[in-house]
Amino acid sequence: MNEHHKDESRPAFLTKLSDSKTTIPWLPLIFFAAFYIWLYFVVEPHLIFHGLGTIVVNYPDFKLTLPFAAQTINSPGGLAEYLTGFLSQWFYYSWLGGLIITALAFLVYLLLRILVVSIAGCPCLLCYIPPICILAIYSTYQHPLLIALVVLFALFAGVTYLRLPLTSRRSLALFALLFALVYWAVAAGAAVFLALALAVEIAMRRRPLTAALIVVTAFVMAAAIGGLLYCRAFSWVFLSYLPVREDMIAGLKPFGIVCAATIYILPAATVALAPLWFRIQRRSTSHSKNKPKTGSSEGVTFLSRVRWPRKYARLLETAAVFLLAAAALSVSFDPKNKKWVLINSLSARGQWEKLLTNARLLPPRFYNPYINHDINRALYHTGRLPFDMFAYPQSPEGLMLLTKDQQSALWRCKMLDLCIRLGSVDTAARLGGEILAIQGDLPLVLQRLALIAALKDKPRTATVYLKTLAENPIYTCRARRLLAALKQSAKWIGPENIDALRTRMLKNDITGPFADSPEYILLELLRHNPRNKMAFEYLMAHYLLTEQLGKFVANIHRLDDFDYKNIPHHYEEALLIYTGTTGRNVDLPGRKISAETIHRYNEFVNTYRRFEDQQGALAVFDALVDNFGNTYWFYSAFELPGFAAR
Amino acid sequence: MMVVVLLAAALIPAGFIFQTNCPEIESYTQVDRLPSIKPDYSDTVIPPNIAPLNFVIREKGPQFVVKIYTDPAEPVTVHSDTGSITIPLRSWRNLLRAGAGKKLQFEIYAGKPPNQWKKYRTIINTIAAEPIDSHLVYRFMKPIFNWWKSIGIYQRNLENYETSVVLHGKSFGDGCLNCHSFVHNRPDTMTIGTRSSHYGSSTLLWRNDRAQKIGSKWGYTAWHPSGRLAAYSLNKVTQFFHTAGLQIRDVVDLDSAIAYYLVESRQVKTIPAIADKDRLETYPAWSPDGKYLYYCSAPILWTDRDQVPPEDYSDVKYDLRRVSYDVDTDTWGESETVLSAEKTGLSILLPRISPDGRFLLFCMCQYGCFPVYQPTSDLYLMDLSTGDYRKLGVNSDYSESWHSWSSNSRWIVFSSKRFGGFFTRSFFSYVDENGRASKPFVLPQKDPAYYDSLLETFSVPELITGPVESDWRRLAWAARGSVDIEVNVPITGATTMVEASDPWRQRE
Repeated sequence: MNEHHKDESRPAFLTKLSDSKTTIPWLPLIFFAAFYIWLYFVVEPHLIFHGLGTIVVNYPDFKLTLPFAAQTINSPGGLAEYLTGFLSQWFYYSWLGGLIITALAFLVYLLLRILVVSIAGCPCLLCYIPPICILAIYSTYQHPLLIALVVLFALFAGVTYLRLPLTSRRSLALFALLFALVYWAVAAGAAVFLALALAVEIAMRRRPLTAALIVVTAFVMAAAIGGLLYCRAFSWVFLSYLPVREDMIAGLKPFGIVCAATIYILPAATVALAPLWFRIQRRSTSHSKNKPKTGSSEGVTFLSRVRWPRKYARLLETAAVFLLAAAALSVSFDPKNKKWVLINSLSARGQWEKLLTNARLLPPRFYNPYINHDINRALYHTGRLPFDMFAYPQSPEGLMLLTKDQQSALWRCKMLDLCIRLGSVDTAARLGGEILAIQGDLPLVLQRLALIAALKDKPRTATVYLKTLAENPIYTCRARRLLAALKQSAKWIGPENIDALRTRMLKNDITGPFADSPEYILLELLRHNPRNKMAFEYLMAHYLLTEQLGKFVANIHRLDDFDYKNIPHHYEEALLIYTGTTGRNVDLPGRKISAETIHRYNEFVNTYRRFEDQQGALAVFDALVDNFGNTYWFYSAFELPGFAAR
Repeated sequence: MMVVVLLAAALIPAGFIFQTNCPEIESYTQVDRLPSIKPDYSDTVIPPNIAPLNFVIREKGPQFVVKIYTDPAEPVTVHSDTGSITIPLRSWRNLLRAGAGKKLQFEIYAGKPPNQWKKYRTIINTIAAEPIDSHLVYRFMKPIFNWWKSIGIYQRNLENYETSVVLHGKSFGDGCLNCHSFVHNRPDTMTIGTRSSHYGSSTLLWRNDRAQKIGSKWGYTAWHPSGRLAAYSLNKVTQFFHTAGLQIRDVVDLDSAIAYYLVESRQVKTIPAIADKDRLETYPAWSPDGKYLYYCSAPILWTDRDQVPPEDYSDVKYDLRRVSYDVDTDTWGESETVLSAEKTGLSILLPRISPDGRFLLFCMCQYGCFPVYQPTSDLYLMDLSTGDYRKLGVNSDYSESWHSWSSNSRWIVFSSKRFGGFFTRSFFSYVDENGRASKPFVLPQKDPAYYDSLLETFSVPELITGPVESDWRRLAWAARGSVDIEVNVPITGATTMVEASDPWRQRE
């Protein structure tokens, strides 16, 4: 406690940077302008909004009500959670979402810059790294807003701590006060502030005793606030809101995790290294006296040392920053990943034609069961499932999402939608209830649950969901519209055809070992309502994808229950395979397979045989892909459809 | 901070002006019907110590005035531009205190001052002479479909709107909480069942100003009136789902039995009568004199005790039984059937006896052991002096369950899904000395529109005479700490070892 602050150990506090005072900070301006442009035009934050709670694993719950605010904020980390929830809602508008991310990244940059300038006398390029990391994570379509806010709070406290040079004792008191506030705001994320304060005390003020006392203070305060006052578990008290916890890095790929860790670690590391920076810079400045003027607007010391003319130095700095950003974005941003996120978003909004257009631009190897699933939904809703499904890559898992991750929110959301449309409304209600219990009040799920309640003639329950939805600022108007209509006519006015959905609703109870079998459920739906076209097309698609042609043929008579003028292409293709392989003819009263399909089938078989005999499987593939890549025959032969159309 | 102070300074007088500046009613048109208000607080009996029954008037009108009185000469007048009526606590208390046993009238006007008013027929409620216990303890959570994230047990002061947490799952690794139980409506002794993937399953015992962790999870628990022992069920319970129907969730006990814990000796015991290997025993309830343990019992209809749902699950119907007990000698008598499912044709569940020993309140539903998931579940009252029972008038088309008595035997609280069939809310009803129950009313809230957007449910409401004496932090530390009381359920040979389980899984 008897350490004293010495002027010579903190020369940078009062250093005036004529550079930064007199010139326009072009680099930050250009950088953050480009930052915003990238977000707005390339990332498109509204896609992140539509993926919240599904592709973006964590859903930042938010309601514009006082009880919600009071309840959320009354907990360590609650303020950061609340702000994350609030700001995330505005991602609905890409321009605003981009602005929010840019503003936060800029604030992180600015505060770090202030810290570094205070210590080293000049900024350095490291200040750009946290914003670049934030941008890189957003480019992977994850949502590091909470991470950015945690670091922002810590940096703000760090700047305050640094800017108030006090005696050890007073520094300690100031630290305790700031740490308590930061801990309340971001819980154990306050460790970033602790690291900053430590870096200041050790590397700059050279007060190891104060540093040690700061560590003790931090632990005591965290234990007191988190452990005693809010009674949270030990691991939560000291690790919450840090990128070591699964909930903070959920959904992030390894590069994203590295970026997240960098955002946390870099500020303290930069501050710790800043005095070294300062010394190098001072030496460099003394060397450069009486030399031609060199400089660096962002103080890139190494650039100064090699004494580039000022304009080249600036160019190099700019190039370095942009190269770094470009490198990070080239690793993180994948246009195909964006397509997936876009397809997910279009599916959630029911924009089927647009979805199919985008799906066609995806290379087959990038498909996953969820994309398959969305495409099949889009094909069904545009009336093209039995005609065009093999124009797209298919897998048996995609149709009914028989994937391994059946507990994920993404899976539940997709199945919730599918089940409503198929008529398995109560299963959809269960899935919706699970999502609300686990993920929070996702607007999409609230709307679906309101629809389900309306379908089940429960307007009062629908009202509860819609009134909850109305508490979300983005959905207030929509919810009120629906509420008003529900109140007036007790009818649903959403885009869904409620009467059609009602006719499909499963009325009989299925429990038992087959209750989870998609085939069993689809058959039950058809048994309840033989004119459930979606159940029929999905059942047939299921048989086609799993190559159960016997069952397919056994159900082909159901065509008569619907308004098909002719036998759909893929059904014709499957029938020909069935006849060709079993030698049995299928009875199709009043219908016949078109001559063109028969002709094409013969052509397919002949080509297949010719190339298989002479040149092997690869040659067969090459010979057939252009003309038959979009047929069931091709799928059946190679299980790789969807090539010809490309 | 300064801004907050200034705002408060500005708003308090504004509020005062608002409250006092009531529009004049010079003349009005009489409307010959009751006004529509939400929640429905009309034609009911209310306790003299209940918090203000705030409500929303669902009539058209730019302004609303409500005069509340027991004596028309001294009304409490509240007015509103939105129809949302918030009654001042102090005036309300004075009204109720002075009017115990009298009629409480709500005179509602909608319209414009001074003479374009409509006056509706006066809503009349009765203020009972007997107060209700001051606190309600309940479980608060979103409806569970296999998974949960946030479950808490809360207490609500019924004399105002103060709500505080008794214990929340987030205090011990997002754990699950259930089956809170008290000794004879007293807040000084309490048990809570806990379950956590991190801290295991256990029961927390709050007694003698101390929280202890018992190393086994108790199911439905009933404290002996002496507080010397607690009977509890062990349930191998599982949740499953229907694909159609009013209620898609269902629960079945694949196996169950009842055991009892002796507080002093820290022993767990059971007897064949309540742990029959061929039957399912559950929902223990003590008679107020402690001489009988009532419980529900049904034959096990399946051989595979792991299949979900088991075959014939919808044929399981529970009888109401009782077995005599002497607490001084720890001896049990023979069990006897009080009311059989064969006689009623329904499954008899959740027996709860009024503290005066006069009535037995229970529910009956079509089948099974979990009435809150059974839309057919209704409340019935049995006069224990005669054995006669009847369906109460408090029932709705939806499930009624999780009922309990006030310490003076005049009030019951129960869970009902009558607000739409899905969300469970707590309702109160006055039961007179003849067993007639008044029209139930929902737990009043400060914000009368509170239930409109509430996705959480109120479950297992229990009335107690004062605030829970435990501190939630101490309970949380106990939940996270090591086991204080190790117990082993004896295998009697009469029953297979029933594994206490939970049908619901924590968020992973």
